[in-house]
Amino acid sequence: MIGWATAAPAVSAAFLGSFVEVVEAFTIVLAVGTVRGWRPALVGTAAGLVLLAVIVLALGPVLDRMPLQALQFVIGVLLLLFGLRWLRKAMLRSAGVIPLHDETAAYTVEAAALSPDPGRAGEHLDWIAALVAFKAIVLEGLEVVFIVIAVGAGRGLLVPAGLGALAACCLVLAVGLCVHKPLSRVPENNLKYGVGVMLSAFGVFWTGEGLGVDWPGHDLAVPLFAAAFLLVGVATTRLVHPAGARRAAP
Amino acid sequence: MRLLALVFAEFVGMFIDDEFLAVALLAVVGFAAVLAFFVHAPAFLVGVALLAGCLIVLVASAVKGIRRG
Repeated sequence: MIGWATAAPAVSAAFLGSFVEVVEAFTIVLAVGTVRGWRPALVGTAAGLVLLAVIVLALGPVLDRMPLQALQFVIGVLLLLFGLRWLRKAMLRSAGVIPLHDETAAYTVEAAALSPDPGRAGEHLDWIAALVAFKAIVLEGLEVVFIVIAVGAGRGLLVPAGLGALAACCLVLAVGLCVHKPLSRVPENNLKYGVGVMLSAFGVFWTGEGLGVDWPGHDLAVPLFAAAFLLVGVATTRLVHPAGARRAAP
Repeated sequence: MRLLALVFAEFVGMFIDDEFLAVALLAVVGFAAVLAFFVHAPAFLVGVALLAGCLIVLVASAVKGIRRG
C-alpha cells in the first residue's frame, strides 16, 4: 500500500511539471487552431499524443527489466540534470538575468509565423500547420513523459504520477476552452521554480538510493531536500542579485 | 529526418543546457560513487556528499550565470 507521504511529492511534482509544459503546448496549438484552422491543430495534436503513447509503451518493458537499484541510479542522475537545469533557469529569471516566459508573446510570435494562407483553405489538410501542432505536443510532451517516469518509476508510483499529469492536462484544457486565449496569468516561473526544487530533491533521493544510501526518514527525506534546494536557491538569488530578486521573487 | 533530429536535440537539451552545470553535477555523482563503491565510506557520508555537492554546484552555476548576465 502506497502512503500519502510517498505519493504526494511524486503526484504534485508530476502535476505541476506537466501543468507548465501543457500550458506551453496549449499556446502553440491555440495559435495553430486560431490562425490556420482547428482541423490541422487537432490532427497534429492527436498524432503527437499517439507518438508519445508509443514512446511510453516502448519504454515500459525496458524499465521493468532493469534492476531496481540501477534504475533508481540512472533516473536519479537524469532527474538531477533535468531538475537543476530548471531550477538554475528559474533562479536566473528571478534575478532578472533572462526574461520571464510570456505566453501572450509566445502566442503572438507563433501566430505571426503561421500567418493565414488563403490558398490552402478548403478540403485539403494544412500539413504545415498540423506539423507545428505535432512538434509542440511531442517536444513539450517528452518532458511530461520524462517527469512522470522519473518521479514514478522508482517506487511503483507510475499510475499516481500519470494521473497527476493527466489532471494537469485536463485542467489546462478546461481553462483554455473557457478563456480561449493564451494562459498568460499562470505564474510559470514560480511553478518552474517549485518543480525544479522538487525534481532536484527526487534526483538526490534516487541517486543516493542507487548508491546504497539508506536515507534517514526514508521518503520523508524528499521534502527536506526540497526545502534545502529552495532555501539555497532563494538565498543565492537575493545575495548575488538583490535588485533582480526583488523585481521577480519566486 | 529533420524532425527526428530536432526531437533528439530537444531530448538532450532537456538534460544539458549549461555545460558547467552538467559536467560539475556528473563529477559530484562520480565522487559519491567512488566514496560508496571504492572507499566504502559510511552510506550517510555518501548521502551528505551527494546533497552538499549538488547544492554547491547549483550555487556556483547560478552565480556564474547571474554575473555573466
